[in-house]
Amino acid sequence: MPAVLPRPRENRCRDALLGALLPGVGPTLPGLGQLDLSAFWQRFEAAAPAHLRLGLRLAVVGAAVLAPVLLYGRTLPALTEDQRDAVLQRAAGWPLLGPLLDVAKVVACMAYFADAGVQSAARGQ
Amino acid sequence: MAQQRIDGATQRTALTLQADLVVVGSGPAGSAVAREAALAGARVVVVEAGRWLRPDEFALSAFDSMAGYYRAMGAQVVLGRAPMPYVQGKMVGGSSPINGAICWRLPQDVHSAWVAADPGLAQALPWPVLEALTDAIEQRLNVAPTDQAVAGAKNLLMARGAEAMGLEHRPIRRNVQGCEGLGRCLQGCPKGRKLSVDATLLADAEAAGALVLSATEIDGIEVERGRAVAVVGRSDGGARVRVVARRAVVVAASAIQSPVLLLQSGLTHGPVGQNLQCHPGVSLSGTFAEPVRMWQGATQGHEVIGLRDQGLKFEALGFDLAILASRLPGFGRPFARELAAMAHQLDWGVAVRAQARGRVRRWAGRTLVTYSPTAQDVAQFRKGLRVLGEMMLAAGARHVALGVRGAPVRTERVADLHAFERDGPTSPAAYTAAITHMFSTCKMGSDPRYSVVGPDFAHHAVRGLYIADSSVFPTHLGVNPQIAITAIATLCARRAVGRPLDAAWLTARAGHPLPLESTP
Ligand SMILES: Cc1cc2nc3c(=O)[nH]c(=O)nc-3n(C[C@H](O)[C@H](O)[C@H](O)COP(=O)(O)OP(=O)(O)OC[C@H]3O[C@@H](n4cnc5c(N)ncnc54)[C@H](O)[C@@H]3O)c2cc1C
Ligand code: SF4
Repeated sequence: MPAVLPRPRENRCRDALLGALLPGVGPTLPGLGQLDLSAFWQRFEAAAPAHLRLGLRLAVVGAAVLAPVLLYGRTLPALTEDQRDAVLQRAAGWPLLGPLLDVAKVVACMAYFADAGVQSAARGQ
Repeated sequence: MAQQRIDGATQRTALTLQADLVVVGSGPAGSAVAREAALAGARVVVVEAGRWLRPDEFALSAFDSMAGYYRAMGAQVVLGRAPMPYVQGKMVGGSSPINGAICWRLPQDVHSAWVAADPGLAQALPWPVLEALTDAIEQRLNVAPTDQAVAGAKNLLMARGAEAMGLEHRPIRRNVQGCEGLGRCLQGCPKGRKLSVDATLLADAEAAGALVLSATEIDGIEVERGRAVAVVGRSDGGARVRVVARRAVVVAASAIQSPVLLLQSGLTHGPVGQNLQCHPGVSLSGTFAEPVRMWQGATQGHEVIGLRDQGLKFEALGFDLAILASRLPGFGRPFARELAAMAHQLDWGVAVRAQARGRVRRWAGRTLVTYSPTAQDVAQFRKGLRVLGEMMLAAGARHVALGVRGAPVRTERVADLHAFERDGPTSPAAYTAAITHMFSTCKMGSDPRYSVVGPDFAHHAVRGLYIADSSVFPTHLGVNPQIAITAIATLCARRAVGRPLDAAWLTARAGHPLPLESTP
């Protein structure tokens, strides 16, 4: 896919989207946005097939750029937490974006539970 | 002793090997072929695209396991009305080290239907011989019902739900030894308690002299004057590899990659790649008042078999938290609330013996798999989810979540489930399905116009070329295929080495004498 955004900006949008998808879970589990995902992304870029990487990028463009600009006039990183959550609840019902958000959610879950601390905290529940 | 393993990852210079039999792929099919051929005295080389993994290399998280040793990170998708993943392992042992360890014998009703449709198969796949081979394989793989002491809540609750609904159910028969119920089968057992084919059948083959070349993908079959003479490929270390086959090339690369290899090699005879049949699976989650910790207990330890004759088979599921989480409803804060209650969530699945027929193609150097569930298959998804939901509520769930786009997110009422079965979404795209069982893309048959291999597993157009895996199955099974694959592949090996299916051989394999009249 040709770059819609400069890569660092796209990555900021991606991180904002995944962080909004999976915010803090109770007192013991951090939000995805609080984790260092650099090792995950390195491995993901190397191992994920092209269509999965494309699906994630389309989800980022749709849910972190187009939808928030349409709803609030700004991209996802510039919104408050409440606004980010509101974008997700709306976008989830949109015909094309809903399934793309599902793809992003799978990636978010993969990233979240690839963290050893999260795994042991969750398994200890 | 001669060298038994070559690691393609460190193979940087061109390599040529000689064998009587070269086997492409080391999953249940390839390992069974290698074992039988090596025990028969043939010089066997097995070439496998994936690498060897030790139990201590198996990861805890779904991502690390999928990125490490699933083909394309477990994210290959079929194209069609409902893009869904078809999942395969890529390592020595194929999908066996990362599968659910569920064992089913080839059902006799399926065998009878095969023979009724093509009487030529009766001689080729003799039922008593298959039974005897299955006995022997089950013994080698220590197949036995799940030990209830390590079953865990997800399996015991399924028994309770099925019992309440009057559905036939049972502990799953699994190929494990000393299973501790760590629930990590789909990431690979870290304790080596799963008796996957790499640790059993392939180990036997190695002990009988077979050589395994891992981390090397075969990309062509060489044919000279109508005979398969070698396979060629590339090691992960970058070297060209050629394995010359004096007697036979046996393709056992799975129901997806076997037709791919034939097509790549220009072997387009017959319906190669066509007739793809599958058991797409859908699942349902439920919330219990007490913690059920889905990640604990034997990964898949209980099944409901009462509706198998209707093409539905239900299984308790156990996967990593990442997969469980991704199936819970919602996004953002509502999703986070679901996650906070994850210890109370269970997921059960239903595998559908689907009507749909798909196709494996090569296009512009890529593999394309097309497959679309039919309206009847989608009706089966709905029925399967309804039964799962009722069963989970009967087992004590507070509510269940269907995970279907366009359907109510969750319910605690059986009436809602029936309404869903009747009026729920008819588009397959509304359902989150996945495929792990694939069949029939190089069908076996007596008539070369409608099949790729004959009843003797030999390719109709190329001498010395055999196909051993579930791509030769005339149809899908409706049950988990790994044991049937190993039994049928053993017969293929016997054909490929040119030995009879006689009583002495069977007695040696089965460990007990068989009546002569039961053998062909
Ligand atoms: C997650 C999961 C869970 C499952 N659970 C169960 C279960 O509980 N019970 C059950 O009965 N079945 C289960 N299955 C299905 C079962 O594991 C497969 O049906 C079975 O492994 C197929 O055997 P196979 O030998 O045909 O192919 P595979 O097991 O796929 O093995 C084929 C091998 O060939 C290699 N290969 C492919 N192409 C090439 C090439 N060109 N060159 C060299 N090597 C190549 C691959 O890397 C692979 O290792 C499951 C499958 C999956 C993915
Ligand atoms: S349930 Fe756990 S201990 Fe048992 S075989 Fe699977 S991974 Fe190994």
